[in-house]
Amino acid sequence: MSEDSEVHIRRSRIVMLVWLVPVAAFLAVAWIGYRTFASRGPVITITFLSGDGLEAGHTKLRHRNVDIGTVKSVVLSRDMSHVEVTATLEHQVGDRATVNSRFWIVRPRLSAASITGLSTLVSGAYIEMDPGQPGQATEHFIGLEDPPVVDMEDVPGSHFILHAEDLASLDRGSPLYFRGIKVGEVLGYTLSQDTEHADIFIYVRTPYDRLVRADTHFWNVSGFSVSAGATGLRASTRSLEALVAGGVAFSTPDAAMAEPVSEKGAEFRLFNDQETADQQPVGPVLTVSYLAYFPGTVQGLQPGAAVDLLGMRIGQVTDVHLDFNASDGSLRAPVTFAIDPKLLPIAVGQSESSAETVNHMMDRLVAQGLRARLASGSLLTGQRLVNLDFIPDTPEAAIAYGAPVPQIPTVGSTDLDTLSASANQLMSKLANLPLAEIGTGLHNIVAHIDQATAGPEIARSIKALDRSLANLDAIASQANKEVGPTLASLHRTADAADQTLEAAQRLMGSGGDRSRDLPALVHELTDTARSVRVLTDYLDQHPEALVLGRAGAAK
Amino acid sequence: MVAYTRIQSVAVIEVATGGLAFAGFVFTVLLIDRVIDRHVVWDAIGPGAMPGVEAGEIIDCLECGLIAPVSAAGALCPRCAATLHRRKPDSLQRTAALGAAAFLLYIPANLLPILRIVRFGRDDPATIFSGVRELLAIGLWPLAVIVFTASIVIPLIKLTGLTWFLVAIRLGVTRRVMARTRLYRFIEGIGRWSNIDVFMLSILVALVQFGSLTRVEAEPGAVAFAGVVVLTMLASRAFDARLMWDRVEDRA
Repeated sequence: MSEDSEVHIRRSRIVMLVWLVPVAAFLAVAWIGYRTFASRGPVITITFLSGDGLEAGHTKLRHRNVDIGTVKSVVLSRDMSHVEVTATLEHQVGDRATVNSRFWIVRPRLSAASITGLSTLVSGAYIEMDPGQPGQATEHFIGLEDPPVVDMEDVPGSHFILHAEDLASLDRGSPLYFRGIKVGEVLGYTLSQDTEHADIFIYVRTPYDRLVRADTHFWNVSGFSVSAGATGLRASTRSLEALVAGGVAFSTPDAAMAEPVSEKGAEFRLFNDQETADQQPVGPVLTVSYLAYFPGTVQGLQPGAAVDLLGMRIGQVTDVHLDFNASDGSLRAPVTFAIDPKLLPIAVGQSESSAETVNHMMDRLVAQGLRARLASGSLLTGQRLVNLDFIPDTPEAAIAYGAPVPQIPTVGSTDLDTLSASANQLMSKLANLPLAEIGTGLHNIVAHIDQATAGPEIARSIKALDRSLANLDAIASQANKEVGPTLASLHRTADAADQTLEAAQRLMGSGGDRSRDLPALVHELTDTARSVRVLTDYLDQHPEALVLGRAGAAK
Repeated sequence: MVAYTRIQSVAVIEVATGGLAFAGFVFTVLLIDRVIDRHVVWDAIGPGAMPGVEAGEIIDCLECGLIAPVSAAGALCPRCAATLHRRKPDSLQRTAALGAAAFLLYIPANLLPILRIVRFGRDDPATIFSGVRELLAIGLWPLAVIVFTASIVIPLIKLTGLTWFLVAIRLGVTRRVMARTRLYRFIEGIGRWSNIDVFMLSILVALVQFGSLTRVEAEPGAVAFAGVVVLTMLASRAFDARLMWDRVEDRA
């Protein structure tokens, strides 16, 4: 009996051991269950316009290329206008799905600047999550159709906004250059609120973002640029990449380096080319505008054209347009140009009074004969510029101070264009001349002369002339013998005259003021020149006078 | 089979001579197992009965079928050295314990992914059920039925069957004892075949390692599934069908 009970006890121990198996299984299952449950994050819904490339159960949610969730279902919304994607996030990122989070689908993107998302070609699309700043947790998101302009936390730097008239060939990822070194890229672009500009978001890597100051100039180096300005033809391209993908370059003038480093998000203007950008003044832009009405055409004059003072650039044309005066029916092309006081040789303060200072200076210059006129900048391209120059002996004129900008007196241009236009007119007048009748008349005269010379009187006259010439020959040969002594005496006479003049000079040397005659001489010369100019001006306007004489005299 | 079709989708597989020879070998072993009469072998080793079996109750050795008097219970079998029992020891307790463990593991085995195919860096975990669904989706419904039966239905049949046996013995139910006996025989026979999935999976994991191109990795679900198969095998082995008939005798 004792043996039996011993066996029984031993058996019950074995039985106890057997029950350890389900206990162990339970513990294992409980642990796995807990882990699975604990690692399960929230279920979120994202809406997209298209479910292209998304697969339920397979497509991953990623952040920085690490899986943080899985798409559970991809279904159409009830009104079939978009796609609703349900996804489970992993536990550790669950609390980062906030109102600041953004989601977008990463698909292969092939742009000229770069190829991104190449891995998705074989692995399929995935949904990128940008957690954003911590905030209010939410479960419903609206997915972005395009990758957002992300603040690249992993590449330190600053972003700025450029305002451009035209996006040109810039695109997301277009390079940004400083002295030819790639220092950043275009993050994206959008149309400005007022649809006046293209707003371009750029990102400048540290430490290059320190180079961006308030007066940093940005310009577009997209593609291959051929610019024809007053300085001739220019062709340039930045790099092959920029040629294909477009690009932006910037420079900071030395004077601008004194300014504080620009804040992140600062806004700049994007110029179309480096030349325009370089011409931008450093510091606050304070210009003084003038208006000018040029006689004749303003063809070839564009906004941005240079304004020269004695050949030095002092400003640029800001506006050219047509102006029709309905009351007297006159048509004019007012040209507005802005002068940068900093480029003038006067001390100008950074205040509103600088305009007065400049006006005062211009008043005095105009009184001395300064006039605005159009001049050819480039014969090749026909570009014109506004030339401020002293025109001698112009009628008195003064700056007309009227609203809104003062008007500066002008003179007609004498450049090649006008000359060629006059020549054209002359040619057309010549073409209208009755050449055939003149030719006939001349022929008649010649015929008459012919008849006259054919007469016997002519033959007699010629014989008489022959005799006279023979006589003259004899006289000349006799005179020849006497020429030598005569010449010698002439020499002596000249020497004597020389000495007399020298004596006279000495006589006049002390109190003599020959220079008094000089202004008179110069004055006469000027008068002559003026007459010539009047003549040319008259011919300019009345070329027919060359042939028909002065209109007034004829009548 | 499932594994083979899944690999076919990523790589071309050709069975070489060795593979054919191995298949032939396996098939022959199966045939031998099928046709051999164990009693003949054991009778050749030693006599099939202990002295004193002519009178009274007898028991048999579970390993070699030796017939012994009931008094020999607890002693070692003179022919094969296995312990002689009247009934399998603690049969009900062991079956219940192992069955319960198998039940618990059955849950993660079906919920957790059993394998993960990493194709071109793209992670693709698959549970048994998702595998079945995928097979259905590509139109291989006969295969889907096989996988569904072998991996999901049969373990469930084994577990519910054993539970039924245990409950019936506990309550002394004697009806349909024939049906239960047949079911037990079926469970015993089919038991090891469920593990074929686990073996295939281990081969797959070892074979399909093409670096970043394609990779197959076993997941925790596979361990749970193997646990289910092994535990149900042990449970059905620990169960003694004669206990069901004992109830019939008790009733009589």
